[in-house]
Amino acid sequence: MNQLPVLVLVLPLLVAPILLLFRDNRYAYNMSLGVSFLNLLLIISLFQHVYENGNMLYELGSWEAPIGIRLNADLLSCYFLLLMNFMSLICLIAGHKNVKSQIEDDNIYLFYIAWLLCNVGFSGIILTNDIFNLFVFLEISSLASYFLISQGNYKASSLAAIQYLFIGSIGAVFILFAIGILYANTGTLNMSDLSNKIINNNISLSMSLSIAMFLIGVGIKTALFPLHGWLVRTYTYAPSIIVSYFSGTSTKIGVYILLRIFLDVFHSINPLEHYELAQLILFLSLIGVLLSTLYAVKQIEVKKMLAYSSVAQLSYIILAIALLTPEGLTASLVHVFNHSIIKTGLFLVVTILFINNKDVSIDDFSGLGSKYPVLMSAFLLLLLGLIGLPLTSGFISKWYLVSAILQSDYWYISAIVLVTSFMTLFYVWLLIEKIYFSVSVNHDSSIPTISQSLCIYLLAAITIYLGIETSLTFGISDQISTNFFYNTNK
Amino acid sequence: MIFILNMILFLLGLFIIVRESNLIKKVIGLNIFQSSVFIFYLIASKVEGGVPPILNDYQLVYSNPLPHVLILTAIVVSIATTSLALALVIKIKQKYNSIEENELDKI
Repeated sequence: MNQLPVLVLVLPLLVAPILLLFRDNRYAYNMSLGVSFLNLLLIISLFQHVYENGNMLYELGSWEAPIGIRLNADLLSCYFLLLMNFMSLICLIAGHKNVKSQIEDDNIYLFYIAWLLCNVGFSGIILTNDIFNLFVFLEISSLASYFLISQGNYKASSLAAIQYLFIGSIGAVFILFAIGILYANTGTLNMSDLSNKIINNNISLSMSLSIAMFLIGVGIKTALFPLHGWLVRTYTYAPSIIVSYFSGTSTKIGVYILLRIFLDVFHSINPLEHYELAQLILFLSLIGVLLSTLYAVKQIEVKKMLAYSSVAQLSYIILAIALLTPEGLTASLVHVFNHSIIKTGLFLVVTILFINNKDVSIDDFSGLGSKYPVLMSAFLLLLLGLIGLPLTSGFISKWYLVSAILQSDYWYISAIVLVTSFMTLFYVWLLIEKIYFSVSVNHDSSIPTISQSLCIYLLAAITIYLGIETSLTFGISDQISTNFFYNTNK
Repeated sequence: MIFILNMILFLLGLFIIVRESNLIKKVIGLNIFQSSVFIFYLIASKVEGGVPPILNDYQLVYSNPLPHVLILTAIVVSIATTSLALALVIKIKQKYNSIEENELDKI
C-alpha cells in the first residue's frame, strides 16, 4: 500500500523502453493498454486510501524529505491523477483504429511509447513534491507531446510541432529560471519546505521576478488568453486522437501547476492577491472568453471550432481561480473535471467518424442523425453539456461558477459569463441543425466499431451522471478548497 | 554585474527565437536562451572564496554543488529538445524544401 505513489510512475517508465526493444506494433498497443488499465486501478486505490487516511507521502530511496525527493499524494493530486489516467485509457481504446490508419506503420510502436511517456510526465508533475522534479517531468511530457503532434498526417503537422516546441520550451525555461531564483533565495527545492521558508523571507525583488516568470511559464501551458495561439494551431494539425487526448489533459496540467505553485508553495504571501495579479488574470481571461467564443462561432471547421471553445472554457477555469475565494476554487476544479470529459467526448466523436477526412467541416455532419441515431444522441448530450443545460455536468459547473462570481466582489462579471454561455448555443446549434435537420446525408463517414461507440456512450453517461450526482466532483473539490483556504498547516 | 550580462544573454536568446524566421537560427536562439539560465544557476551557486565540496581539515568554505547537479539534468533535457527540433527541421525541409518560417506560413 505504501508503494502506490511510486508504482504509478515506475510502471510505465519501465515498460516504455522494453517496448522499444520489441519494435512490435501490436505488442506495443496491448502492453500500453494493459499498463494504462493497471495504472488506473492503482490510482483508484490510491485515491481511496488518500480520501480515508489523508496525505500519502513517499520518500524516494528512503532519503528524508528536504534532502531527498518526496512524492506527495494529496486529494488535489489524486483528483487530477484520476482524470488524466482515465482520459488516457479511454483515448487509447477508442483511438486504435485511427492510429492504424493515420500514423505510418513504422512509427506506431514509437507512437504508443511516446504516449506512455507523455502520460507518465503528467502523473509525475502531479505527484512530485520537489519543484525541480516538476520541471523534469514537465519536459518529459512536453518532449513526448512534440513527437506525438508531429505524427499528424497534415502537411503542416511538423511545422505545428516545431512551433509548439519553441513556445513550450520558452515556457519551460521561464519556469526553470523561476525555480532557480526560488532556490537561490531559500536554499531548498522541496515544496512543503519552500512554503514554510517563504513566510520568513521578506518579499524581495528577486522573489517578485520569480513569481512573474512562473506566471508566464504557466500561462503558456494553460493557454491563458494572450498566450493561447499555439493551442488552436496544434489542435488543428495534430493527429485527431492526440487532440482528443490533449484536450482533456495537457492544458489541465497547466491549471494544476498554477494551483500548486500559487496557492500551495506561495500560499503565505499569496502572490495573486499581493501583486493584484488576480485582477490582471481576471481581465485577461474575460477577454479570452469573449474573443474565443466569437472566433468559435465564426469557424466552419469543427476541430478549430472546438479548439476555440476549449480556450474559452479554460478561461472560465482560470477566471474562477482568480476570484480567490473558496467557492471560486471549487467551481474551477469541478469545471476542470466536467470540461475534460465533455471536450474529450466531442473530439472523440469527430475522430472516430472521420478517420481519413483531414479538415472536418460542419457540412460533413449533415444527416448523420438518421445514420447513427444512438451515437449521435450521445454526441448531442455532450454538446448540451458544453452549453450547460440542466441535467448535464456542464450545468453543474456553470451553476457553481456563476454563484461563486455572484458571491465575490466582481458580481458584474457574471453577466459576461452568462452571455458567452448563451453564445455557445450559436455554434452548437449549427452542428445540431446539420445533424438532425439536413436533407442530404454524408456518406464519407466511417463506421465506428463497438469499442469506440462504447467509449463515447461511457463519456456521455458520465456527463449525465455528474450532472445529477455530484459527490465525486463537487464533494472532492469542496474538500480541496477548504483545505487550501482554511487549513494552512496542511 | 555578471547577473546583468546573464540577463542580456537571456533576452538575446528570447529575441532570436521570436524575431528570426529561419528555423535553424531559432534552434540556436533556443540554445542561447537555455544556456543563460544554466549560467544563472552556476553563478548563484558560487560562494566567495569557496572551493569544491571535498571534505578535508583546512578548508571550511564550500561552493554549493547541488545547482551543478540540477543543471546537468537540465542540459540533458536541452540536448533532447535540440535534437528533436533538428529532426523536425529535417522533416520540414524534406516536405516543403524550405526552412524559412515566413515562406512556410504561406503554404
